[in-house]
Amino acid sequence: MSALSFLDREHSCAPRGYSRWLVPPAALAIHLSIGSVYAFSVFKNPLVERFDTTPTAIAGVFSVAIVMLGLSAAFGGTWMERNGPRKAMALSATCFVTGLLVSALGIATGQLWLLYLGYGVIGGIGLGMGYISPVSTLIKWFPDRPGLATGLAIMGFGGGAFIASALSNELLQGFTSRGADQLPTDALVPTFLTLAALYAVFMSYGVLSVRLPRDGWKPEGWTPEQRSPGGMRTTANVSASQALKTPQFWFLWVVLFCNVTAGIGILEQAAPMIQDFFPDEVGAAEAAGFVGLLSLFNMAGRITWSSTSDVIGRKPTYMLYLGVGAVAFFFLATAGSTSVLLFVALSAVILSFYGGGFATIPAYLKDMFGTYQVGAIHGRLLTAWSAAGVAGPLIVNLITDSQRDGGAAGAAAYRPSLLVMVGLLVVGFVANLLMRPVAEKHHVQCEPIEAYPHDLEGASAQTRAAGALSEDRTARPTAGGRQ
Amino acid sequence: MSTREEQRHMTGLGARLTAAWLLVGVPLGYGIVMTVKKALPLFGVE
Repeated sequence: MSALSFLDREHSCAPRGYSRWLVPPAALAIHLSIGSVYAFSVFKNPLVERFDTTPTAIAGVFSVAIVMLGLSAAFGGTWMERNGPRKAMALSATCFVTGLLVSALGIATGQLWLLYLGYGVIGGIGLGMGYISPVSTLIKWFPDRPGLATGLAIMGFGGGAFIASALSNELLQGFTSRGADQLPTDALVPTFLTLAALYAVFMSYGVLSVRLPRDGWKPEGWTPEQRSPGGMRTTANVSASQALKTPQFWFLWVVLFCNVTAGIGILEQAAPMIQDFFPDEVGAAEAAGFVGLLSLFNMAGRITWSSTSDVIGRKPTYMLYLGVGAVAFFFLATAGSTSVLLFVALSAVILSFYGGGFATIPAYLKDMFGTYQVGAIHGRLLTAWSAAGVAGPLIVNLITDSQRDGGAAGAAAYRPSLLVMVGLLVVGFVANLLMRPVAEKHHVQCEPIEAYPHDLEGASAQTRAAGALSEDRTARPTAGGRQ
Repeated sequence: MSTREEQRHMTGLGARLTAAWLLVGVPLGYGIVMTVKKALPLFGVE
């Protein structure tokens, strides 16, 4: 038995008497840590000075990290399902912390490529694996409230940016020996090393405390619905490779892409946009406050809307995000410049839908494709996030710049790009309307193949959980299952 | 499981749940408070 066998899937099974409410904190420990990537801008100016390079070159590190997040989630999802959440979370923690250490080495030696390798590539792999592994586990623990469960975890990704932003600023100010009017460039290395140590401890807690439910476990007193309105919830399962062959996967890809593109379009331009809309009323401090407020609504939307989707259903929830979102964007474009309060309120609603869209999608996937390989399917769907991360800022920047070149100023320069977002959200709305139950020909059934070799507390009748099975050998088509 | 064992188990579980949620709740609360402070200038509060 290897020293790391405690990370194996069969050793991650919950003992009897284990509370499922211990799993969300484990998931949050991972998401609060990896969510720090969104606070990377704190280091931007000191890094520009340290490497004597351009802001664009430093911003590239963040972009590489986000692209690696999407790629590792897409390609690592099936591995994660096979090896269990503990091993995937351990890999995530190892990559994320190693990325920070390699970055510190790059900063200390003045080699920018090490920052790209560390924070961007290695750290980015940690982001992708860390993002999907707790989500998939929570869905298995909370079949009765998957929206609440995934909302809790993905809220952590938004919250991680708050913590990292404040903590990194404190560390930079604490370690620097330079004056208040100078950038704390000398504090970068100790700050990165301290963050690496803190995140190593915090993420290890998540790795050690996460558990998978025993096979056949279900919440006390809960029975799966025999029917759901419109048949939009299934007890059947679809494999990750098969899911790619369904129109439902691609409709959801479009839904996520449109929702994220619209949200990022606002988020990326928030500070300059509000100052351009209200040049006489909003200064730099107020604009920074606006960005902070949007982050709060982004985080609150993740838990609030995702939990709401457990009650009203996933399809109506996305109709709300995309339909009301389109209306909000329309009013932002046409009437947003009439009042600061109206502008802030509309932007806050839009950002809450943006966050909600991220948090609700795993539960939507579970409803459509079952729990069998939901983590792997989620990972592949996250490529929509990577694409939107490129498309959103590109749309807003290109259109706004061309408007300015044409002589437009203030709110007028943003109007066309905001109206493009209305169109995008309408496309997403239509894609969501087209969602139907997955055809039975795509369903698979996982048969029990063996008992756990290291059975916990006498759970001898357990069978290997779905994700550990080889799709090709053990899955067979089944009839029915759709509720 | 006897009643006493069950009580001990429930007490231990309660303590573990409290510790787990505090461990993630405290940093999250710190982050939220700092962000709210940052947002205050938008409403004219310094």
